Amino acid sequence: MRITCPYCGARSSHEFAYLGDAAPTRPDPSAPDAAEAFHAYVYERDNPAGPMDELWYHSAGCRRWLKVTRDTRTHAITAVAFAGTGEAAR
Amino acid sequence: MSDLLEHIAPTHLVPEGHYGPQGSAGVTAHAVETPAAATLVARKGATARLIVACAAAGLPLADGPRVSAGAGLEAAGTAPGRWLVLAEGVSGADLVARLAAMAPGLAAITDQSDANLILDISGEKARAALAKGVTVDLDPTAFAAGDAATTTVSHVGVTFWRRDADTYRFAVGRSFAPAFLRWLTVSAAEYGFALSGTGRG
Repeated sequence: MRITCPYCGARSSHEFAYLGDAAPTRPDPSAPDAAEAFHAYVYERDNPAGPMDELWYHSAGCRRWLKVTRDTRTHAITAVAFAGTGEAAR
Repeated sequence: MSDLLEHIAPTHLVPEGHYGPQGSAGVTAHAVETPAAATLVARKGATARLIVACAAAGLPLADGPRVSAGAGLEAAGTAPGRWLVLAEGVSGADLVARLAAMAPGLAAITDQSDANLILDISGEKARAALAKGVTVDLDPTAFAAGDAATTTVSHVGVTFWRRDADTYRFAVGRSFAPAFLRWLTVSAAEYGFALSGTGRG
């Protein structure tokens, strides 16, 4: 599988480290339901058959976090972008 | 192939010499007398201003995986807003001072002299030998003179760029250089491989 890094270009997936689903966002720790929200944030994951946004780290290249849209059935990659926005991605 | 390196300690550089069939060398590698080196990393939000400041001082930086030269410096893009800069004939401290003067307050600059072995690889079979470990497309239409890449070769992290039509320049972490040279030697030996600049290893 090759991932087209927005900076480096098409590279072998061996250059990347996989984190997982890009959807979970860190809950507000001061919210009243923080314990439940953090349980969901840490443990609960969807397991979709189809396109999924994932986080990959280009550890052997530009060392940037990428958001990769990959079809879990075919490994076809339809979109790759820096996970941050603007210069925050840097 | 492995018997080629049987008598070379894996902890030492491969000694200079000719490896593989006698005759002309299809691949030539030369360990360059260590140039001064530094990483140039734009401060948050300052990439565009850093590029403008360096261009005004004679070093046209490319914000991409490309190498550019100017003002006696050679700068290879390694990541967004990040470059590895080499300079020959000056000390690391002088290079850091020069870069700091070019871009005051716009970048983090760290002396990396001695961190890398700098290896120039050329020869008509250089691309064929490199293709055994470099997973980047090296066809001239995809990787032309001036293009750079940061990747792994035989599990060793490298930054390399195509200096001109004939020469690839590799920067390999010094403590990984023996392993990289062993990979290069066994990969290039079938074409005849001439290695220089590594002394007795």
